[in-house]
Amino acid sequence: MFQPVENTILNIALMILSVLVSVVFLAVLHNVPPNLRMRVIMVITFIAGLYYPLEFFIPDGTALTPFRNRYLTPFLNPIGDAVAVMAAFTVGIGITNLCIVHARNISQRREGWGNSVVFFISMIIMFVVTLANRYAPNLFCTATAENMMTPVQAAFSVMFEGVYTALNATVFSLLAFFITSAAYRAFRIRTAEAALLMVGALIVMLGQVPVGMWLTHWIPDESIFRFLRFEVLSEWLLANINMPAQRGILFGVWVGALAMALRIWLSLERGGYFGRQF
Amino acid sequence: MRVTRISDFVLTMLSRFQQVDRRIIYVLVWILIGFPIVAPHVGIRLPVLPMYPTRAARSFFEAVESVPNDKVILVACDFDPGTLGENGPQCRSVIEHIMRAGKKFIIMGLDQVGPTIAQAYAEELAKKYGYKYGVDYCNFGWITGGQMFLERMCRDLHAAVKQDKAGTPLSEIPMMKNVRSAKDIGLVVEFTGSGLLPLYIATFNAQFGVKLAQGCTGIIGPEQFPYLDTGQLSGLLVGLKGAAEYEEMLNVVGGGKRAMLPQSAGHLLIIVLVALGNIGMWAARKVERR
Repeated sequence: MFQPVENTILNIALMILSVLVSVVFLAVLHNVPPNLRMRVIMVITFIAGLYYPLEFFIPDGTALTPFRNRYLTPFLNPIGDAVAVMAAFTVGIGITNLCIVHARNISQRREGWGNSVVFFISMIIMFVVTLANRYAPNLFCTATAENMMTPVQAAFSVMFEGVYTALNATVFSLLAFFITSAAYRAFRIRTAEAALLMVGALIVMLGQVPVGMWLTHWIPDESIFRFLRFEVLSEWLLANINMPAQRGILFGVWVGALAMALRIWLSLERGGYFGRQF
Repeated sequence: MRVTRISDFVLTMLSRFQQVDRRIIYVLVWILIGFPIVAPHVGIRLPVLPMYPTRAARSFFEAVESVPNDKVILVACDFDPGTLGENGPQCRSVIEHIMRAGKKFIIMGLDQVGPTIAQAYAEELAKKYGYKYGVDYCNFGWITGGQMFLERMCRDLHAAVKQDKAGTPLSEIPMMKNVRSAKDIGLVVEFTGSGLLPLYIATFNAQFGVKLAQGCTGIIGPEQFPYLDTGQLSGLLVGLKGAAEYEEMLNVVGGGKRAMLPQSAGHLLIIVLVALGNIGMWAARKVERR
């Protein structure tokens, strides 16, 4: 089912047709009364969400094995592809939104509009260099030795590894400074609970680094006091105190997510992006 | 009278510890973390601190060892340079272990940069262990589509992934001829700094019964422990310490072990600063009461 079309011309024609149908559908949707629009969206959302409960939750007498073949199983891959295509559109929406925001900053000479100029220059250079590296790495000349890079490959390497990767790592490295400063300012023992938290944090912190292990490594492995070693205490705290708490939180989060998914699927959600027309 | 004056002076001095300028803290962090990193490069020998692998790290090691030779290991590199400091050494040491054990592996990632970083590690280690691209390992690169894609991959890998990172069709990669679905994957090892684990649990582990092990950053470590207890995770490496523990079991010195001294210094600094801040607060209260 839904085998890929091998004919290139037919493929392109189908792509253009699907884009045209989508545009026409969206145009019609935008021009119908809000009430009807909402109902159409509700029906589409319900049908789109119906697939998974039918495939996974409703027993049909056959075993729910990984490589099962139920009535709706053949649609699993095409739906997966459709979701991947829709997810790719979100990248386009993100880029468009960024461009609109920064273009406004520049045209209205808002404070910091220079940063928006830098954004456009960086984005265009990275876009061009990445495309060139992918599709035309030998644009200006070819590499003469095995380990040699062409100018396009070198430019990509500088932009990606030299600039992007380094900047990304630098921003996260700053956390070390902020966390130290924040811990110093915030960690004050004002109550008994804070004292308990501090003791726990101290044990886990020391248990996470060799210096903590070194401090208590004189306690023999066979000793009954082995549990006083920082790494043992730390592991015990993480596995016996932290874990049940985390499990409780996770349980709450996923039950909440399920409730939220049901509300969105059945169009019961109100407020924010759901109840109003934009 | 004189004693009271001296104690007042001491308390006033101590109370200043609760208002240490943040620039002083930044300089201390810079020196204490920077020195152990730079010292070995200028000939200064620093002490080697002990390292005891935790149960979670040992389970990870055993999970890799227990993969049958006819199955491959999927190395999911869902990290970017932001968490490279922690996930990088974890990923590198696990790839080294896989190569040492003679297992085949596939690199992929739900993040753009992770597979590129892992490829660099694999290429470097391949020289040491005689691994060949396409025969012993391959790289699918950045994968989009999240859980839907992973599910499809489990069901029919060749239908989900048409080509590798370099654009070579999967049908032309020798090692992929016998790898068709989740049945042929013995273990998934994921390295990440974000909460992507449920995607793998819902697909590879829950539906297809493939074992999972994870290397995560220290900050999300505590969140992953429930999955370890339920058996959904067969092993867990937490932060740089996890990488150092793995290196200890492999008996190699890598980024994890080398970073243990700077990290120890950083943790000690935080502990000392928190203690000073509390002493300062206590002293300030005493002064106020008088």
